[in-house]
Amino acid sequence: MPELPPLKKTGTFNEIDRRNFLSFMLASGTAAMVGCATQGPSAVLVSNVNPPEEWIPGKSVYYASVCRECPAGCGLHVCNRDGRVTKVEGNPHHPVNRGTLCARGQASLQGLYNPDRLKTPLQRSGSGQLEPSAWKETIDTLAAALSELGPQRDASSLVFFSDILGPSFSALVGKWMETIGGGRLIQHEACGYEFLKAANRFTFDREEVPGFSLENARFILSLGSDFLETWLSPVEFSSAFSRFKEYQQGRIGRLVQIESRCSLTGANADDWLLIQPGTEPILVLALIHIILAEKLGRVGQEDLARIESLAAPFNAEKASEITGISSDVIYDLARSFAHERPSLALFGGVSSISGKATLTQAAVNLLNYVVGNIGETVLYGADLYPARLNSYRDVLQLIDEMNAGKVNVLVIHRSNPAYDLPFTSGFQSALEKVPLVVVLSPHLSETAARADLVLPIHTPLEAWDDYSPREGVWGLQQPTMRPLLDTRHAGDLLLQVANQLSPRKDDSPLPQNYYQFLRERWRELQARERPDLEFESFWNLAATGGGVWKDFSSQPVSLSPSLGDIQVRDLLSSETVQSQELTLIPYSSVFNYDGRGSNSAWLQELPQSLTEVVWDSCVEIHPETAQKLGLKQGDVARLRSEYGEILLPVYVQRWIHPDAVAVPLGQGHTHFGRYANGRGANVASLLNPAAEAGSGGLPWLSVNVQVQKANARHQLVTTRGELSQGQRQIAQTISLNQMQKFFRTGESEGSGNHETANLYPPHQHPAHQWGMAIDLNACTGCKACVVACYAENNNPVVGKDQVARGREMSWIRVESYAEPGPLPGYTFLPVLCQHCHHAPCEGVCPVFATYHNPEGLNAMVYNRCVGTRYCANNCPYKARRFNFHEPEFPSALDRQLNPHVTVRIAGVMEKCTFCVQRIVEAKQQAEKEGRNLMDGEVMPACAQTCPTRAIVFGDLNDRESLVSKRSRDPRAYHLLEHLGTRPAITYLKKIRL
Amino acid sequence: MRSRPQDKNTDFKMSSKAMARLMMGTCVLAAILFIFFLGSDTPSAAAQNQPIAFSHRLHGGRLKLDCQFCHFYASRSSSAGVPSVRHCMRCHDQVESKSPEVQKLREQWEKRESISWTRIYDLPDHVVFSHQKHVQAEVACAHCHGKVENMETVVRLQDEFTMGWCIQCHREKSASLECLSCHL
Repeated sequence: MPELPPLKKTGTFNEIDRRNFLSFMLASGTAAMVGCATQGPSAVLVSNVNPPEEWIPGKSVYYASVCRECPAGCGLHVCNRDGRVTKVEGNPHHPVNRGTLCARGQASLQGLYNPDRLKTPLQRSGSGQLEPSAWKETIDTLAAALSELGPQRDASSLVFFSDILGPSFSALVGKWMETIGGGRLIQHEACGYEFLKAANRFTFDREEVPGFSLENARFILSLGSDFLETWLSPVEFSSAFSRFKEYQQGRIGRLVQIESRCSLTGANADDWLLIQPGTEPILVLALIHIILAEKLGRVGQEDLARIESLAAPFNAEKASEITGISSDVIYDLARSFAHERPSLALFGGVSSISGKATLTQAAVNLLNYVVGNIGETVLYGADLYPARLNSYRDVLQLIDEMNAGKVNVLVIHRSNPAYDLPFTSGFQSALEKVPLVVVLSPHLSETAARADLVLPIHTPLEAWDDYSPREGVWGLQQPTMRPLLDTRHAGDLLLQVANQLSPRKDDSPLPQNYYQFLRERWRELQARERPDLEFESFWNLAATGGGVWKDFSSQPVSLSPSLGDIQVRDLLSSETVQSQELTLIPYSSVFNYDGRGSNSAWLQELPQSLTEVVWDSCVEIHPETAQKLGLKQGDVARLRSEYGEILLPVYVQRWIHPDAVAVPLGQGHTHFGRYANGRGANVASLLNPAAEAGSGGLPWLSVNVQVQKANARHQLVTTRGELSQGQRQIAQTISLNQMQKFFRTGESEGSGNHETANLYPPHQHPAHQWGMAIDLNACTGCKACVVACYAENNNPVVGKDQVARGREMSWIRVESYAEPGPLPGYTFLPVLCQHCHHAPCEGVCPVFATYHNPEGLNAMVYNRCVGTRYCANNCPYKARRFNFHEPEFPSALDRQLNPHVTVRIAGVMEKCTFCVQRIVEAKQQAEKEGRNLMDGEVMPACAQTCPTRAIVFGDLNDRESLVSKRSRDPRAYHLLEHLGTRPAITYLKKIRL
Repeated sequence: MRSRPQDKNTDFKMSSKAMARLMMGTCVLAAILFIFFLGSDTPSAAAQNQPIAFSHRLHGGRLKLDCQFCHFYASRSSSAGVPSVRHCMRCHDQVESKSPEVQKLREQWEKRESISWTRIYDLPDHVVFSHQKHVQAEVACAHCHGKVENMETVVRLQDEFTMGWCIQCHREKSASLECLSCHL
């Protein structure tokens, strides 16, 4: 684990400064450096009126905040340059993400600068169209509708429907509804965890979601849980996973992933087992059965007896028959799980939540319980965020009420239920029964398009709020720039409406604005948590640090007396599917999640994990099944379920159950914005709307589909090359045995010393020699680095057609390799410019636009480049990108551009610079302070964001730097070493069990 | 070591006749340009269009205020910055508050509105320049900006900041000739 970087300067954003912020939106001198090459020099220098103290033109100010792209609640450090937010990074001190961020977190910038954000409120006119309207008018309409509700009303007449809220905002909504006469709050997330809550209630009488400590485990058994992608807190788990996989004392952790479609987590597993979709509970009960039968359990006799009575009917042979996993493997799994302690069993993720999800989770709880994992790897008391969410069943009830005409005003905040919910749940048509539907959202959505009023609100990067992802963590979300557009804070809107209904008195429970309300709430928190501090110092501490946090104490659990009520018997009698239909596996990916970020050009252009498809969606089908159905890659298939049908292009891949097809969530938008609309299809139109009986959650995996060939072809663009690397040794691996042997005897297998004779004299690097080390054992292929690079280096997106021509502009790409066979066993290989000592690109440039600089960088001088493309032709790593077209940054995406990096123009070659602008900045800072650069002080954007810290950057001249140490590792090798290019990037081989 | 373009000595040979013709041409051209610039006593038309008739001659020359008294970010950032309205008002709240130009300033301050000055100096977007670095290296402001204290309104010393002009100074001062020092 590399050392975390020192805390960057973080400031508070107090009220007065915010007001003055407009004045330095365009501020002064640094406009000279603003890299808007396409727009010519700016003719004016705009002076500030009254700048905040911490502001220096041309210098970055970092504000601590909270990421709200998913409910995990990672901490942010947001870089503000001259009033514009240009980069988000993880907050190194935040307990959830410890300085790192995922691809979606990085892309939150494009939510802020989304060119399709609403500029004015919209109101449905007499003709039935949504038309721009003035703020006053729309607020009056809302206030009038609310006042018409009258005092003696049903609580259902006003419903506030939202995605997950922070503690203060939900308190505000509660108070607001109380003040204006009552109503109901529903917090709903498309990817819910009802089964986790319900199962914990069944097994341990605790309706909470516990914490999971992956790094403490030696063996992880994951049943479809995509903890590296979207499950609960993927950044936190990715980081923990890298520690789990780290080579320590002769061993590494072992992950067994059991699922019906290979997820990114499955691709990183040591063993991957294909299971008949929906049969997970039988497997888990069989594991418990074996553990108990072989007396490997570690709990009291009484508990054992109770669990045994549940698991008794499930022997390995029977389970093998149903699940399709051989009984030997089941025995081996059970024994490993009991012996390699502490172990950890995980379940969940959209792709595995079937109608039996609660039962499966209950069995998983018992499995963890019998071997004594509770308190070691499963930590009750953490109380993760899903506890606050309403269940899907509550939403169904709301739909009933809407249909019955009980709901008069429905306020939908940030959420997009018309897109997320199964279409046959009837939400869309129920909206028409509600007299006034109000959507609070920064941009248009499928829900907003059906609303009567759409009020544009701030994005999270512009708004005050707080968020608590688990017990003991309170993140303070502060605005990181002045609102880009004429939008309002959702909280302020509510307060304004309440004020209009009954003018505020001094004793009103509602404050004047949300900021005030938030501070009052935090005053209470301070009294509780830090009574030793003055409030103002507490507040400043929280604002500069990104929040306050403490450890939670893990609590013991005991088996619930109602355990016997769990009905497991009928699992065995359940019918086996004998139809021509295939099971539909919807899945959420690390990039699309539930589709809320789909209007990001970065995320669209990012090759999807494993399929590497860009700007599209597809249905994944096993090669045998595809053959049977007469489908080839790129054919359009018609998927028809009982509930609806969609058309999607076929992607043939072998690591999926032959009786299933998989479709990702997140595409198929119709009213979301220019980048999202009309791509792929929305899986929600196929889903079964019935809630799972046990938990009230949405059982994603409960639909069978007929797949037919539609008479059409669709161009699926993928950046994938050959999946198998054959004998080429590109992404290398080493076996654990070889590692152990090395540490025992000091002998490495030797990657072969490829030192070749060279006609050129060696380069001298007197001051620094920058280098990078990439640990393939840690890389999970999450591609956060790719998006971070786009954000830092002003890389343009080029669109599907251009990617199809191989003209994508990403400076770093993550290649994936897997060999044919039952086990995917992917190796992910981030490839960027290798900054070769003997760079093949340099010698062929006729104009010296690229050369080896004295610090070991392969420099690229854009203004010298004449675009011969000889260099790209000669680069064996395909690391160079050519601007075939003038880059486009439709407003306001141009505001995101990093002023320290030139925006390249058409006809110019570009490639990774090792974030040279960061090197320059750090060197200047060190020079100013009269000291040497410290190791870890310079961090390129890719290394900074990497959730697993696979990428390390530093000075190879410093023998003690982390990168030097890693480049001497027995696992070290260089890419295409035999070519004699002597790259500055060292790769560390992946360790295979 | 491979030679870089700036290290190259180009051998340039020419017949004496051609040389004479070229020199003649150059002289004529120089004369035309000289007359042209002599004729216009305000080289930069933009200079007159400043929203407030701020005098550098008065502030820098007569009052002998240091450049960094107003452009105080120069030693701390890549950008020297134009002073904020608040900064001007610190003095002009009292000093010369009756002057019509100061009245304009006060108006902006009271409206909390910024002033849009006409930009005199600009660099191409592919160049990164750091004031901080040059102040640290004790390069006098006048070296690039000329004797601003003698100018009523600022005019450009250099018609263009060409790369050759930068490089010349970097050579003389043994400063970095590395491309990445300025082109990122």
